Amino acid sequence: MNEKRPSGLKISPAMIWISSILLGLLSSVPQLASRHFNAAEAAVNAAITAAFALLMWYFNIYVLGRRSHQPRRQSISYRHLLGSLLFGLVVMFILAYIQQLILSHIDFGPTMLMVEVRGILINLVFYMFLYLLQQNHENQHVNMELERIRTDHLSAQYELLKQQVNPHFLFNSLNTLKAMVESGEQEAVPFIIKLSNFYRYTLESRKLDLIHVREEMEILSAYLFLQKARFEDGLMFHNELPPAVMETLLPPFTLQLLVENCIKHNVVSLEKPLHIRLYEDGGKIVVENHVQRKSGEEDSLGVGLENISMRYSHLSGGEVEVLNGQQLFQIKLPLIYEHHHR
Amino acid sequence: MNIIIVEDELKTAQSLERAILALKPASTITGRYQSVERTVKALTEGTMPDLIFMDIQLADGRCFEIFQQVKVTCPVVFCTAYDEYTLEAFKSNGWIIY
Repeated sequence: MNEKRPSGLKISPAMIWISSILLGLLSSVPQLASRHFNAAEAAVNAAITAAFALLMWYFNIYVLGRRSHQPRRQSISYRHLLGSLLFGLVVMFILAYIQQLILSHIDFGPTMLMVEVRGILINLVFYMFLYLLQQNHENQHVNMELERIRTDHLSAQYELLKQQVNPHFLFNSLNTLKAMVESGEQEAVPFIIKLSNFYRYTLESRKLDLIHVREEMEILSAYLFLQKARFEDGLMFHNELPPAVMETLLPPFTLQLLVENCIKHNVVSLEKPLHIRLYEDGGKIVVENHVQRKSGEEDSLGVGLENISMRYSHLSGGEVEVLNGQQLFQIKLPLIYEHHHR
Repeated sequence: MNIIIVEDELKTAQSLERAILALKPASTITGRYQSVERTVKALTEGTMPDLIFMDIQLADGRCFEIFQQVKVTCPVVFCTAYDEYTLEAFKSNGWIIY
């Protein structure tokens, strides 16, 4: 969530100016009611309050704006509030002094006190108002971010589901099965069992975010069995994962999808067998194959791969590396350990 | 009758071969190829068969690439599950069976 920070608060200058002037006018209301009303005094008083309000508006916006670039905090910052209040006191003192210069006849002490109290009140109200606005702004931002992640996740799941019930795969499998039954092959029954297993895994792990590599290997071996029946020795799979890796986690159907991708984009034939290697290297699971691209294949990495990266970044924050070389095509998946999960 | 089967699915090729031999026991299957590359090689180096059964989607590309590389003088029967290739197949002078 280190993306865009909220861009800070936008408060229209009109609102700032109007509220400041109104506050100034309001502060001179008690003088209107007093017995010895002095128009000049009231005007100066109003002007000073308005000037103070203006200054505090901009000061607080500046301070809170700077704060929003720091890591997000839940509680109100008392340091900033105190700073703002102190600044307000100093400003008010200077303004009171100016008032004293203009209206030399009034008593400096009590006036100053009254003005300072007013200043603190104005300042507190502004600070709280801005703070609430900013908090609201940030909350909205966080909610939007959450919503975005949720949608991404849903669309990833949807894509996965579509791929799992891939009619093309079912069609090919049934075709193979038909040929096996025709020739009375003994392997037909295990083939049916593996096919039904594969679809059962789809149903079972559909709702899971992560499964053990060991479970994924079961899915993969059912899938490979079906594909081996189709391609025979045109497809060679080498599993060199150490046992320790079997206890780590990954999003379900990751390896199966990657192997399916290899088969989809490369020549798989008896003359040119496709070798797929699965091994561990530097804390990553590597799926590797020699590139023997089909002609007429555009150089696209496809939705499948994008989907896997998206699931990885949501579930573990890790990056899926894709090395699309001339000779070798490698996908590196970061290992996810159980204790990191939740 | 000499027949070539061009098909990337091994089992489909086998069952096609069985069907042909059952119907025409006198015919000989002179070759079974999975790829464009191998078919082109066989057709340029060997003799032209009397008939070719050909899948559209092959291991290394589409079968139409074969006709760009080699002059095929015998009839071709295209075997496919997809009708989207019909036109192209007719342009290559073929029959289509689904």
